[in-house]
Amino acid sequence: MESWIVKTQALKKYYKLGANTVKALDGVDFCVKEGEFVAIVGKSGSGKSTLLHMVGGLDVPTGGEVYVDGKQLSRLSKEKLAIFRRRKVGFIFQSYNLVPDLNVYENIVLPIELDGGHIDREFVEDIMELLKLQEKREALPHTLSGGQQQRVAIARALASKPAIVLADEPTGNLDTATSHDVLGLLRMVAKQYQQTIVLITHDMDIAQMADRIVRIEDGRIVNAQTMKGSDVYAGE
Amino acid sequence: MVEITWGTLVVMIIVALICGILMVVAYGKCYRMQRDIDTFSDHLEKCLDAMIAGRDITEYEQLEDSLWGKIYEKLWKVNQIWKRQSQNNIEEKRQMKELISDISHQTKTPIANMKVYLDILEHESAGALIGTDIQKDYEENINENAGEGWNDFLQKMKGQTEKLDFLIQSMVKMSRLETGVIEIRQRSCSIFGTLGHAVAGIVPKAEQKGIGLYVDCKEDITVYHDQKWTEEAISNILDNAVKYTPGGGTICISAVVQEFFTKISIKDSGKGIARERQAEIFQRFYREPEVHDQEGIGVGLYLARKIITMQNGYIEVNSEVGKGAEFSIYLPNEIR
Amino acid sequence: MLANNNGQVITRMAKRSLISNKRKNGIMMIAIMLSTFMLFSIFTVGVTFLKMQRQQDIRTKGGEFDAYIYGGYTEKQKEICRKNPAVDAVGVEGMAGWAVETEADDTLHSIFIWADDTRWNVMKKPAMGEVRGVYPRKDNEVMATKDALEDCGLGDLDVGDTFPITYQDNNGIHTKELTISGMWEGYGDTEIFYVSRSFFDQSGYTLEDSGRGFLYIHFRSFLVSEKTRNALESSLNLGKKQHFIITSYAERSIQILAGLVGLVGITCLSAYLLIYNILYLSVAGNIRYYGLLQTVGMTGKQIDQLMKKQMLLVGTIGIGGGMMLGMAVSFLLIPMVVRSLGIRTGSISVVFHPAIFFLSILVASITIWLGCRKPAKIATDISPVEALGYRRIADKKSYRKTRRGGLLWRMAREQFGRDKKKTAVVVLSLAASLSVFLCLITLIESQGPRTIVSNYMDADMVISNDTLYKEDMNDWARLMDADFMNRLKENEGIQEVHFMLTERIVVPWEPEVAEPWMREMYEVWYDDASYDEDVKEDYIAHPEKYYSYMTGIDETEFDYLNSTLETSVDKEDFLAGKCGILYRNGLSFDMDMLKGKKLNCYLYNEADTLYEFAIAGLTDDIYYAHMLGNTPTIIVSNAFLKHIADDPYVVKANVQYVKEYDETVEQEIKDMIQESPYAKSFRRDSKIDEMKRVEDAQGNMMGVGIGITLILALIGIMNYINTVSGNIQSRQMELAVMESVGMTEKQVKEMLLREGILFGASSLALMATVGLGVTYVIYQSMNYMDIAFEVPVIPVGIMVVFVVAVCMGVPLAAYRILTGEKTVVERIRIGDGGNLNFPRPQFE
Repeated sequence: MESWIVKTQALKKYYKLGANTVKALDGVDFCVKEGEFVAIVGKSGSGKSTLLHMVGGLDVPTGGEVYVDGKQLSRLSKEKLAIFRRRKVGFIFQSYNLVPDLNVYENIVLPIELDGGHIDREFVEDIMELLKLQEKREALPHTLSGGQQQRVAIARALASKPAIVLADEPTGNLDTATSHDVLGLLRMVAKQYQQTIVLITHDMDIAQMADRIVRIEDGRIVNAQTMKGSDVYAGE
Repeated sequence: MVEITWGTLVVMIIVALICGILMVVAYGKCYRMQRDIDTFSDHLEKCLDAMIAGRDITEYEQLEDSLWGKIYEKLWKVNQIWKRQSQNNIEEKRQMKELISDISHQTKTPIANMKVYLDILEHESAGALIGTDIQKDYEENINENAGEGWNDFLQKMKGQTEKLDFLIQSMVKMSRLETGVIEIRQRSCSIFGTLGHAVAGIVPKAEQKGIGLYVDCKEDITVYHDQKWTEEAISNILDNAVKYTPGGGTICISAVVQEFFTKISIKDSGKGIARERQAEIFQRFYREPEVHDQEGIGVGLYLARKIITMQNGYIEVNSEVGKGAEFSIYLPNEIR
Repeated sequence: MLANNNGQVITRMAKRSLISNKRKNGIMMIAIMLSTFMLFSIFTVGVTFLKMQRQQDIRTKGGEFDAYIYGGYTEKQKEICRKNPAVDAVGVEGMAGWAVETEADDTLHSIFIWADDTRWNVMKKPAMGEVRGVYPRKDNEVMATKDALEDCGLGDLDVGDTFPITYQDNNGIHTKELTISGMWEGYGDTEIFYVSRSFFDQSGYTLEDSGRGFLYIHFRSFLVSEKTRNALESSLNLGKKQHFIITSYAERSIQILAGLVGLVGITCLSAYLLIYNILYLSVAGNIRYYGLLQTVGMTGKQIDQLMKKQMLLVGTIGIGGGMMLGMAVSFLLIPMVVRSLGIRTGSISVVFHPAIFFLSILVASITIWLGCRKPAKIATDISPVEALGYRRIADKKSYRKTRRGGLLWRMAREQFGRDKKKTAVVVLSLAASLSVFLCLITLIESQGPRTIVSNYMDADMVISNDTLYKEDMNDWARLMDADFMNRLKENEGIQEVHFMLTERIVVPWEPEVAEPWMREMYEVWYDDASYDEDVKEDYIAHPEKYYSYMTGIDETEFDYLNSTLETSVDKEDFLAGKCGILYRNGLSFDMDMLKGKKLNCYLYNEADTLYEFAIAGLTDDIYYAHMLGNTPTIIVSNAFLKHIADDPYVVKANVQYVKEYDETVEQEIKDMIQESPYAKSFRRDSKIDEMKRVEDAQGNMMGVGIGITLILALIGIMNYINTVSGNIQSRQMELAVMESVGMTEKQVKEMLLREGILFGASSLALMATVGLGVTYVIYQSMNYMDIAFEVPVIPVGIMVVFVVAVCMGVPLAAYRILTGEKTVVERIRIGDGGNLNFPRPQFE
């Protein structure tokens, strides 16, 4: 019995731009197993960001279905989608997107606080330790470097223990060395907490870090690298 | 006698009305709150019951900004964790079973062979061998290698024993690792020494094949690692490197400190690994089809990855067919 | 469903954003503070004004009543009034006679009045200060004031004293010993001796007599509709001599209150526009921020909560500050303002009512709440994808005509018209402030001439001879003799002096003019006498009993009078004494009836010389009716009068100084009067005195008016500044791109300048049309003196220049500040979607 934590069926997203219709996604069947680290690779405009948005409940599909952690997203209202994102999804973007008014710690626990939840302080401390952020705990985002900000974003994405972590070109704004470090940390921490990660990138080197690579082109998945045998996954 | 004018009376009535309304509202609120609490604990009970019985709990889900919605999320997570645990247990058991069957499978052949050779030795004169595979084998051998005598057999048997020994040891290591019997004890110590030992181990083999070894590592690099096991991991990779690099090739080993990790790179000029296989090679008992006849059982990389992962690091492979392979081991620098 | 307990983080974020958005929040706080201050002040002014108005009303009238009937009244009418449901109290007075002389003084003005219980205890009470003693019961007791006693030359007497006095009533002249049973102090006419009912009864008058009986009515409510009043009036069946007069100033109060409400409305509008604009801009400029929050899991409701909590904090501080400012300033400001609205008497105590407090807070809060509703909705409606740094979707238009015209103007116009709503808000806000300024300043400037020109012909001083008002010609004295007149004429500080002369005349009976005149006179003004029965015979026989007066005016005064008449009088004829002008005295004659008719009369002491005047005009201006007689009063030229009479009396001198408000000359005249033995009988009305009184109230109105408009203007300008600088900030990238393509900085500045001009011009245009229109309407509704509508050019001109300067200066300044030292490339990068956390070089 497969435990898909993400499943899309014939997912379509069309945009109207003037007289033309842009087919950002044109019938995508995509699955992610729990605990997997999947990379979606494609050129600009291939639709990878759109796919991420669908999975993360940021946008509504034109056709097809998206299921995340058992929930059918197309049925949800805007409010419910927000709560869904709050409880089930962690986002990491290319431009860090931290709240400028809050310090590092507050940024990390923001989704938890939005849910009025109890903050598992030990857990957060663990993450901050792993990502080497304790010293910067009270710093405001604009005093941090790019890599540091991205680490805060990672911490935020993980702190609420979401079902999936979605990363959209998280290393896009970083130089090579920092990229590698950041991604390595992401992977390590994810493994540690058995976190499912879906990462988008156009950089093949980055994609290598994942357990599985999915290629997308013109709104369709091509040459999906599925593993031989469902139970044997590298790295376990 | 207090003179009560109409005005005063009206004011008093209004005040009384307001008080009355406030009281009714307050009571109403209390009543509603009590009801809400009852509903909440009712949901909680039912949900927990379902979890205990192993039933599906999605009917209690409330994707709203409410107290119950939040609590439900946590219950759901707990439920998932339990499910996963039990699945992992099932998985582990299955793996165990696999392991056992693998072991029995792998050991079958050498032991069978050994038994044959011993039989031959035992029944050297007896014609009991006639018609058996061993006889055929023996006959072939006699035909091909005239002049060989018992020495041959003994050598062969020795080989099988060694193979068996090697197999068993690896199995034991692996299972000990798996079950956590062996502890990985990480310490901040120089990686130079660890590397040194590992390299020393394959020097003979490398020399034999004529493969050049180059090491670039500063002496003062300290990494948080378990020396013994890390050495083992590096050795395994080096083994592979040597195995898959033809004579005259090179193997470069270097260590570089990065911000969070120290990267130990082992780069060979061997045949390279195809992209599709790059994830597979770390599987247990995986062997490239081409080297089927060479030594090894396919646990080396599996073990290596396991060891490194247990130290909070990771292994990457970078390779293209025909252009060699680079294995990068990342170990965390310091954890305070 | 139990709500989630997640309010804390929102509150924290609201507080944080306050700190980090100091500028925008600071502006809003100031605006709210100013608006609350204005609201509080306006409400306080309103309430204080009402209270003071009522007080002044009561004091001026000498009692608390809303209407009265004069010309006598019947008991039946009194009952009707009492029974009328709209009426609260009915009080009566009876005029019992007037004082003639005492040992000390022979020019007395005091009168004797009986007031009934309701009148004395209910109506007059609020207008009275200290009352000592008791109301007279016997017919030789009086309730006196110090003023009345002083008028009689007996200022030192007090309760219990007795004094002899000669007085006159219907039964003739009597001398009596009166005892002072009580003393009262108060407002209104104080030269009155109040007497008992019995005193009145033996005076020979009845309450139904015209001029003797007065009925006072107090309505139940403050606002009585015209319908109610008319119903009451018609129910009374008033006689010909009776008149029903409304004295309540409800209409005027309502107008002023309406004006204040309008001001409240404008203030709220300005504040609303400012808040709306700032929030709208901040949301529009922070779309990524709100998108991010939504991604992280903030629901729309929570975002709404966030904005509301922010505004709560800002609003609380703003309102608190405004209220404190209001209370501190009120003590100083309110009395000045209220006085300038027409309250002259008494000290003004500022009314602090908790209701005003809460009302100000309530109105301010509602304005704030309204202002933030739409922007909050916009923030919650933002779709997260759209907000996550993806380019703004281009305008819906799919094509665009290439236009002609100077490039910079074109671009400026396009920018102006791009976001119509935003532009409208800013222009409206500016225009509102400007309009208010225009309105207030026009009203203020007109206040000046309105109150000061109360003197006839803008005279600096009018000197009157009081003795000439006596019945007995022997009592007349020549106060202003030739010497006096010469001294006036010779005074260098005096520009002009116009003397009005008078002589008593007799108009003998004749059928054309005298007959109809007398008949009407008796019908209208006399109650107890019928012309045909009682008077006609006597009049024909002894016309000298029914004497009247001839008043003489000089050429200048004639010119003036002539200009006010319906029909113009031939000057030569007038000067030659061939024609004259009659005083209408409330009768229903007009020129059609009297045209061509002649008035015959002779001087009182020269019965044999009959003069004939053609009646050339009728006037209602009582200035010329020096004293009224039963027969017509005629106005002729001074020259002629001097010609026919020996030495006509000078009744009035109209003095105009060389220099307006010349205090030295005024003092000289005062001295001159004091020197005369008749000093006490001089009466003078001086413009300087009047002006001084008015100045107290007026002087600061200008300042206050400017203060009000400055505050409003400030709000409007803050709005403008904020919008424009926000605009430029969000266009940074655009501008940088233009520069990179080759637009020089100078050209950019010129374009911005033109944009500013467009803003300024449209605001001014709006002000000049709508604002002017509204000003005109308000002005005319308050203009019961018919002063010409005139817009004060200089202040408005200054304002216009100022506004244009601001409109042009702000975009330039904003541009300068925002671009600073940055290069074009840096600015392009900044403008790129706007990295939330300041763009930093990525290579660390």
